[in-house]
Amino acid sequence: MTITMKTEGTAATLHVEGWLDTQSSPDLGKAVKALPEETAALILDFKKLEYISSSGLREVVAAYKKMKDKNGTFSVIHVGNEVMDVFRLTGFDKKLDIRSAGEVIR
Amino acid sequence: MERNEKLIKTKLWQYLLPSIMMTAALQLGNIVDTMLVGNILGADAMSAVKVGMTVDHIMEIPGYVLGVGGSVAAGILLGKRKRDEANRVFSVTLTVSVLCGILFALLSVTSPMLAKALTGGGSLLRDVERFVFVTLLGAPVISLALQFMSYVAVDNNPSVASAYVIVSNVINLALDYLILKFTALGTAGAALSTVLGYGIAMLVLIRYLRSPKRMLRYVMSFGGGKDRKHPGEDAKQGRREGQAAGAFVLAFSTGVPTLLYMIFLTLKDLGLNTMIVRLIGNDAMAVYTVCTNVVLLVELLVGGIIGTIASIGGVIYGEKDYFGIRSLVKHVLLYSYAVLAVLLVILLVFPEAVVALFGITGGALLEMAAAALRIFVCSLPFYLLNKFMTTYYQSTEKTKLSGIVTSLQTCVAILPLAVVFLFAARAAGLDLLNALMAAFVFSEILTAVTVCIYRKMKYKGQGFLLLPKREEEAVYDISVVADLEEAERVPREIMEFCQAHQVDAGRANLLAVAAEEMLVNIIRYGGKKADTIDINLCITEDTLLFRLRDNGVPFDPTDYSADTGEYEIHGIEVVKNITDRMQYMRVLDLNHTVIEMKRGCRES
Repeated sequence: MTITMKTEGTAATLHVEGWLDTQSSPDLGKAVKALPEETAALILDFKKLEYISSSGLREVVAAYKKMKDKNGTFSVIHVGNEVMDVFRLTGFDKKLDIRSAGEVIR
Repeated sequence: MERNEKLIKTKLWQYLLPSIMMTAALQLGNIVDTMLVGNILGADAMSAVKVGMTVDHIMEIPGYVLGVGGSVAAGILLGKRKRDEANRVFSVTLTVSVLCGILFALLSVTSPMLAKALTGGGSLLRDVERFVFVTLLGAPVISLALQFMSYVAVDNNPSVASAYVIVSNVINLALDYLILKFTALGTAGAALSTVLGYGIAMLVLIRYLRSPKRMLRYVMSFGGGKDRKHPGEDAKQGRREGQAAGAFVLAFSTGVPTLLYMIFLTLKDLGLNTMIVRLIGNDAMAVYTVCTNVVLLVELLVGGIIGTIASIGGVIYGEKDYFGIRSLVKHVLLYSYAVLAVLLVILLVFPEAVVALFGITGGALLEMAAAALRIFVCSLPFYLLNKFMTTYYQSTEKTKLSGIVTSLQTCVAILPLAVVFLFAARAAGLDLLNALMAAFVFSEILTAVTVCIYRKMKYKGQGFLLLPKREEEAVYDISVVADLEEAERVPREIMEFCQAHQVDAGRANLLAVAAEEMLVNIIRYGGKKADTIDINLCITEDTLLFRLRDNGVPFDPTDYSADTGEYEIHGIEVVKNITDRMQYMRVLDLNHTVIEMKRGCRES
């Protein structure tokens, strides 16, 4: 799995690529931790994410909580069908701002 | 890493020893019993006991059939939490069995007639009569014993059941020696020690009766009471009698395979004993008795090994773990034939020494017995194969095939062959006893060949084990060490495997997620013992069946529920949401989890 970070002012986007599984998900946690302190908006771009397991979900939820605690915004975008299935089955598609590949942030 | 045999082999060894010990205790009692009669009373008495055993077999039929059938039926009812019905089955079969025993005891006055019918009035008459008389007189005790032997094991007390079998055999043998050596009771003493053995050993059953784990209780109300105080009591009694009849029918129908086996065994004994005593003579009967005890010796040595097919094989077959089945069969056949090979060498090189153990120590009889035994033992490799097939096919839901092997091996092949061989030998002026022994060899070969032909006709294109061919179902079969790196690799391979077999990408992805969650759970929480995981994915026409077997601490995921907070995620809960069905069994001291998902088709 590879994670690339892009920042624009106080907004940060993490492009996550590959498999977000038990072995690799701590890397996402580390990337979120490494975000600049002033980050007020976090976007996880899952355009190239092929797979997510519960450990990956936990990291996504941890990132959401972190942003919520500092009154920031949090979104997951470009979520493919397979990854979306996992969000849907766990009910997080309703709890978080999750957008499928076709949707855009307005 | 390919699928390996570690878990199956470990279980085979774990189950092998107790299985061998139980079989050994049972068969050793029978063999030493015959040896004592042969050594103390002589070859004729040994023959007489063998002839009289036909009555013993018939007398045991109600106890065996209702005991085995009733205990299986009661076990199933207990599993369904229908304790009242289970109690009714237990009570009805116990009562009917003991009543049959009392009826047999009353029939003991007919023992002179029975002995005459069995022996044709020859020199064995008196010994057979004495044996049959005491055997029938003790029928109520034996009937009761047979009931408890079956029920106690099913009713959560297998160790008490084993202890009862072992203690009764030990008492039987001790009394055999004392009574045969120091009294003039003769063959009656042999029967008496058996009855007393089973009777006295019932003290062991106190442990069962006082056991807190005991579920079954004797209920008196199954047939209605005498005190009718209400007008509706007649109808109530009618209903109770109907329930009692239903319980009896249930127990009896469950015991039908046992009944057939016992009928075949009795017919074989009756037919062969009559032929031997009347056509060949008492000496031949003594030799035949030795041969049947050699078969018991084979049972003693390999019965336990083959028994593991019944205890482990059925479970892994139920899981469609065909690799596991093949591995188990390979080891069972390897071990049992290795043991038999050693035994065969001993029997072929030193037949005189074996025969001498049964009190035949010299003269023409010894020579005759040694020659006959050498021919007879040639049947043993085929006997073992047939024995294996009976157990294997029964454990893998090929009951009919198993029944064909049993009926051929027990009776249908040997009786006609014995008649043909004896009359052909008589016409050709050959030795009748050796001809009979050859009939045994051919009957075992005929059984194996007939079953082989039937199998090839009925199950065209399938192999000996009748397992589906690899091509029919796409199977991903692998063993992994309990390590997080494996938990990363396996889901990827599952995804690739699914996609290679045209499984819908979404389903493949969810299955990979489920696999990862389950593996991680075992690796993290399985404990120190959890070092190996067998994984099997079977893709059928419409289903994805994913099975996991691990040696970690007992964990039933179907019973798992977590206090999930709004933003908490539990892997097992995720799996439950993903899958259509989840099953769990703790068998063979291993966790077996089966996950089922609808397959779906790949969108083009």
